Amino acid sequence: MKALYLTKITILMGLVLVALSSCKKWLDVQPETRLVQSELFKTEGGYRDAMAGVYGGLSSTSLYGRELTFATMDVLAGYYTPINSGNTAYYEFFNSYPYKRDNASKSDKCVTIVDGFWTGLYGQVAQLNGIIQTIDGNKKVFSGDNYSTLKGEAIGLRAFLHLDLLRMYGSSYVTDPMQKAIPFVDTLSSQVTKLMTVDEACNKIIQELQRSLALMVNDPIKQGRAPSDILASAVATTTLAAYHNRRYHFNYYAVKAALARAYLWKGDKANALRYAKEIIAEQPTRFPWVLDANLTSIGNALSYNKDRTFTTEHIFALNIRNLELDVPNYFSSAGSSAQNQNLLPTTATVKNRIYENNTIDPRNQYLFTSYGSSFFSTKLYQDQEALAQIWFKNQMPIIRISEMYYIAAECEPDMATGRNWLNVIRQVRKLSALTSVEVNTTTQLMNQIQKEYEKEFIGEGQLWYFYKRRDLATLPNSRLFTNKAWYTFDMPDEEYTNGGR
Amino acid sequence: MYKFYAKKLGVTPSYAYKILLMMRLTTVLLIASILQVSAASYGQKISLSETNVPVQVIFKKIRAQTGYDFFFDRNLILKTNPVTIHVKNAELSEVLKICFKNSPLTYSLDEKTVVVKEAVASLPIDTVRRIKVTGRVLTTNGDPLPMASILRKGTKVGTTAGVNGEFSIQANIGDILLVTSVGYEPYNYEIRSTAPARIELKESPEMLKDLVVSGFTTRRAESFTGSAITVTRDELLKAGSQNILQSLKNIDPSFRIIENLNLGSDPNNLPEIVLRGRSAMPDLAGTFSGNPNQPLFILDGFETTLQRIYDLDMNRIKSITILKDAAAKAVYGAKAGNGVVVVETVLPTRGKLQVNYSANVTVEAPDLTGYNVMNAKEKLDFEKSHGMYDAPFSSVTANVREALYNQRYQDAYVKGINTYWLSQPLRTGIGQRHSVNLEGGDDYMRYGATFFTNNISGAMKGSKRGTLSGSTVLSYRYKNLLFRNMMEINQNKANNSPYGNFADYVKMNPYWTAYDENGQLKRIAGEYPLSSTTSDIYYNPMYNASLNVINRSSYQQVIDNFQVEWTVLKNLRLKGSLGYTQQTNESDDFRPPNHTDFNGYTDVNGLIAYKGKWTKGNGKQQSLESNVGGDYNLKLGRHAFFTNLTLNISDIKSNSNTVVAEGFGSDFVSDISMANYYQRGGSPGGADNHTRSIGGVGLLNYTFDDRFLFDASYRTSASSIYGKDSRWGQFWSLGTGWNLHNEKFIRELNVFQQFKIRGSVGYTGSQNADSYLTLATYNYGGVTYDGTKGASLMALPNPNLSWQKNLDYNGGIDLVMLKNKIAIRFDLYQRETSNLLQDISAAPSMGFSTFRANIGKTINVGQELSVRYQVFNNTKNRSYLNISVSGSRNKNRLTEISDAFKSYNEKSDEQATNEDVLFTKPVARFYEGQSMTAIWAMQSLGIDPTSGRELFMTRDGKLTYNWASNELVIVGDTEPKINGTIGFNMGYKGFSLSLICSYRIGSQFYNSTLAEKVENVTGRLNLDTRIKDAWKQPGDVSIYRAPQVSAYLNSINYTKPTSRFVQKNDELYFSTVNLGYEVQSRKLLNSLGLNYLKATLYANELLRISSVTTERGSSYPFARNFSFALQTTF
Repeated sequence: MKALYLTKITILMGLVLVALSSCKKWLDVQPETRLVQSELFKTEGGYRDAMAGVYGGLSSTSLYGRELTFATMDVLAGYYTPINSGNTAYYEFFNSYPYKRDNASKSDKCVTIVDGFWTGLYGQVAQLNGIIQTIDGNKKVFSGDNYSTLKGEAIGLRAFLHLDLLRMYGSSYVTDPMQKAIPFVDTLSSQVTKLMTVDEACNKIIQELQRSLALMVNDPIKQGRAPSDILASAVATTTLAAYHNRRYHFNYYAVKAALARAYLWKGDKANALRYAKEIIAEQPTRFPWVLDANLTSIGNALSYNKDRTFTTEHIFALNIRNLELDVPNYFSSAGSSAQNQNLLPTTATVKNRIYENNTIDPRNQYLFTSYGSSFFSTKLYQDQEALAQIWFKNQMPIIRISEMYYIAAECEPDMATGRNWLNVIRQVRKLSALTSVEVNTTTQLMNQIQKEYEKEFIGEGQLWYFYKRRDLATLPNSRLFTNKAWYTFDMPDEEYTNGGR
Repeated sequence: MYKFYAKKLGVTPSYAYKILLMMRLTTVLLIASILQVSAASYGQKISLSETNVPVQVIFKKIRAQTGYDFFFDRNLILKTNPVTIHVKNAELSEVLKICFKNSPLTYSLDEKTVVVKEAVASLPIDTVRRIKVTGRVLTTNGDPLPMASILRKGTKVGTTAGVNGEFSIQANIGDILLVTSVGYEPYNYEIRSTAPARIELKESPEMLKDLVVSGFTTRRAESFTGSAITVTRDELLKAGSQNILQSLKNIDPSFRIIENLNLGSDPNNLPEIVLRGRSAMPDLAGTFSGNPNQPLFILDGFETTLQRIYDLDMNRIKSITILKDAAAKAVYGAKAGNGVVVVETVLPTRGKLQVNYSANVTVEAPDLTGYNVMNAKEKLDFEKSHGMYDAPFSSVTANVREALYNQRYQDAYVKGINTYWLSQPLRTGIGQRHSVNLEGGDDYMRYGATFFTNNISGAMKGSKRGTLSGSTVLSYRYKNLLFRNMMEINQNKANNSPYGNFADYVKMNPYWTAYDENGQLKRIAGEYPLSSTTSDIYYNPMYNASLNVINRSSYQQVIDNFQVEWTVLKNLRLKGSLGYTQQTNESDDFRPPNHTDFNGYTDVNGLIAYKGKWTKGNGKQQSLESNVGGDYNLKLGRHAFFTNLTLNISDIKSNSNTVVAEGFGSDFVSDISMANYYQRGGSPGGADNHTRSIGGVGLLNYTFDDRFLFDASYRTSASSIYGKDSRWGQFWSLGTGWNLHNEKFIRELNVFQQFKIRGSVGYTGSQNADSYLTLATYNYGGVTYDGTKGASLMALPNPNLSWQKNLDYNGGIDLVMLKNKIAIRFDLYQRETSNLLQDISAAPSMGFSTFRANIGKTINVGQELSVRYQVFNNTKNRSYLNISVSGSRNKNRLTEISDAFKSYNEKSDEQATNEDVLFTKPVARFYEGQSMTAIWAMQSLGIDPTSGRELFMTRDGKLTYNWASNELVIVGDTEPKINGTIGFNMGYKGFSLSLICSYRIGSQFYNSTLAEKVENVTGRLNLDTRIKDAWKQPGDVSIYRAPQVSAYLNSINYTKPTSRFVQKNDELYFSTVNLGYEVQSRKLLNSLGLNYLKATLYANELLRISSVTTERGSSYPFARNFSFALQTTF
């Protein structure tokens, strides 16, 4: 009798043990309102979605959706005379560049915005690391060339974001390349990554961009093929081939353009020229100049049909959904009725100085509207409900083809050849070609290049970096800029306290 | 060969028994005192002639002559007088009779042995004939009671019942069998015939105290080394009538409900419970699902929610056990860190259909003590005298100012308007509670059904909570198998008052009215002109309540618990159980278009179509749990072992969604579907939690002679919450105790009925954490990029996250003495919680601002004392008087802290320094070595009589007029030094009266009312009358600075956290008083057709005597609760 019981109990216990041993998997619970990494990355679509998350994050107003493009960066460069009322921070930026840590009267609001660049960009770097760390293990979920293109895109974008971080938080290369600058974060972990010097960071960025370039040789934009829906959306356009949709992603040419930028930042003109010229060679087919038809009569009733950002010239742009809601608050009287007035008008003096009173230049002719005695840039105006022209909407240029010509002009060993590169753009913009009488020395050429940067990049946040790279002691449009130390942002306090910097 | 048979013994009935006797003797040989007697010759007749010799000498001689052996205890023999005997050829019995003539001893014969023992007067010694008596021991329910002990009264002869309660014993007709089992009242069974006996033991509520129910096992309290408190239903009902939690709070001071000064007596607000102090840090980032300090609740063996206990019918409770220390709670291992509350419900009893019915009528009456608002005249005079009709309205012309004042003067002085706004949203809520319980069945099949309805009406109009519940229990016994199934359906509907926030009424000026001349509700109660065009508008809070405001939530719950018990052997029992709970939740919050929330929605800003808002929430919870295990008992002589092994597995899941809709054309809509739009710029919200865990626990209890106790337990469990690399947690406990009352030297004092010393140490965990902390999870947030919805990583994954660990030490003494008159219980404990789950500040370059890690440590140290004194207890006329006092103290201390809290401190300082913020409460700050409940404020020296400004002292002792956040010091602690209860209960012939008061001594309180209603005021809204004592002119000595009233809010210098408002908070609180009468007369009961009838009158939360006067219950007032309860059985 007892033996029988014993057997029964043994069987029961045995069953329990079997149940226990298979519990390892059972304990891996899958959430419902979110996705576990391993589930998301079971398909290539998951990688596409994660990349979309990164671009979406970069499009936020604290990054390229506003502050890093048309707002803070351009306020620093002196494009605007901001009108402040209420809580706005821009006036304070303009007034005294009050974001340095050692400034006793620093503005907390400005510091918050500057800190936001660091936390925001590294936030997206972490997201990219989440993708890059797993992509090799999931190679088999990809079809075609998607694996190497997507991997290259993620690696390239990560390097590009580090380049922008370096341009903000590192000192200008010409002042001190051995200064500690930023960490190059390439793993997703709670370990702190050590700081690199400006020079080390430049080299690392270039090395990573090269790695990315090698992976992206089959990018559809290069091949001229329609991209799979993993690599770009299928937003149709009647005028441009489907591969142009890759411009919303960090594509093959964006990597090359970033290499040109990075080499020039480092002062390696030969290599910068090389990559700039490689893209210029493809300009006619890949990045055609903006059509006059898409520009003229912008002020008319059909103004929504216009290509204000010259979209065809973008090498890399962000497709920002909410741009149309945000921009009017800064560049139209709508902003003056907002609770915190954040108007960014450009004074007549500045506008005239930049465009040298030339009213044929389409950038001056079409892309401003008057506001009292000042002007608003209308470059980022968003067309109203015009589905057919969606191609012109929601565009935020990050790298454009004209910059490659400016880089070529600056890097050509021969001044005359350089002048010719500059003249290409000037003529596209309806300006007269510079003659050897007007420009005959490198300094004169450099001055003209600077003028072109000023004309071309309003609303895009690039001019500040140009001034920083040139290490100008004074800024032409901002008399209050008096200290070159202001070129370098400081890391957030938390980076010092929690990162042991 | 010598035979060593000396021991104090019972009668030895037969040869078979002799073997057993010998076995038992061998085990005690070493400790017993022995006398040896040897045999010489074997004659039957005895001849002796001795004078004054010890009885042993006689025994020796008898043995020599007859060959009979003697068993005796040397100590017993010492009690005999010397014997004088002169006999010739006498019978043995005759000789022995003489030997024991004048001694307290007697003897019995068994074959060739004489057993000497103490004489028991009442029992005739009959050693000749014995019969075999068989029978079964059962509960009154007819359930077999294995291991019940059956003892022939007056002897040590006994046996234990088998698997089905069966036993057999040798006895005589007329013998009395004493049948006992832990948890039951002892039963005397008189043997009248040889027919099988059927002995039923009654479960005694008093005897429930002898048990410790841990959910997995039920154990004798006598052998238990942990710290646990068992509360019976009677005690629970004596301690209040509101809900289980309130009553428990009144019984055990270490079980605390954190008073919610904001939500007061809102019946829809679940209380925050803390057992033996807080161990978790405040949740800054939503790491925890719910209150991180909440104890674990177990209902009938399965984990349950606070909500379920809150809504549970008190009449269904059989007992509640609060497990406090490691030895008690370690069986729950990973979840037990904050203590465990084990609730057992009653099971149906056998018999023909019986109905228990209880009814309560409850009255909730608002308690507004603490509110000292001004009346209309006072308020207007204050305004006038503080220049509110002069300077502050600088931009308003003198005419406007004058007209305004005159009109108000008319209202207050001529028309006599004096609106008491506080009473407007309040009422005396009358609620009802009914509970019906049917039960019956036979030995095999048993059924029970309960129906319960509880309608609570809160003190604010329209605030109510209704519970409807039905449950059935069916049990079936087949041989030694028992199946039981409990099924329950609950429904709950909670409505929040449409009157909104009570604070809105408190601040209304009394010279305003809610109704206009025509008796119509006004939309705007009053305004203050700020300039010729603008004014501050104050809406009438009553107005919104008159609209179709909906604010309700509900849940439906289905529960099924199934249990199998298999009594394999009489000391081996296997148990398996499966519990399933499903709950659906729903909530609606509707603000109609005319609600004052939508005043800013105009045509101009294009929002006019978006007036009205409905927030709908839906949720689902599901849990499946199973336990499988067995108990094994073993008694070897004085060694007793008890072991239990249980495996358990659980899967608990919940999810919720919310949707918001806007734009309702009418106030009179009844469903979210009548909306025009979804929320502008909004998206549906959702959350889910899913935890799986698996584990096993083994425990061992060893007692030696019921004197030395030893407990050990070990648990291992894994939970899906924690990282892959640290999923399994190991928990153990060790406990030891000494029942001094079973020691001879204590017993001989005849003072103590219980004297136990116990101590324990062990580890437990806490797992109230969010389910997906360790995983790298992505969510599809709001961003869409290039036509694709983007997924983003939510947090830095940390696969190393592991259990929060508690190391508990506990020492205690249990004393019951002076014939059960005095009972004292004392406990001393320390709980060290380490591995606290916390957010660590990350370097932003990691990509996230924080990451979760196990860092941080807190220590709780405390003492608990409870004393009960039974003044008298007369069972004859059922009169008794008991007095009880209890107290507990707990101190917590942070010993390790993460950086997240450092930046939290900085942020809260920043907030406090901000001039624009109206500060009514000191900010919480967390520092290592400090209490988590410390009050931080700047040391104040009071109001300078000459300048009227507040004088502060800095940390280094300098005087200053300036407040600074870096000068904050600890000026008090909100945790009391001692809190506890004092109470008595008395009865006389069916009447019973009991009172329980709660007290707290030695805590401090930051009186926010003074900050809010006396100093940080604009003067535009109603004020506390204490403002009249404020400083007015040089020379005034006051504790309040001069009120600053101004037309501009931000031109006021707010009073920041200051020690001036920190007050001693000692209070005595009449938690419950109740008077009951139980009908005694059988005749009366029979004529009514009842078996039982009791009526009780309760007054809960009656009166508070406090050293602080403050507005208590700002959003919802506190209420006194009165109820009349009727309990009957028929």
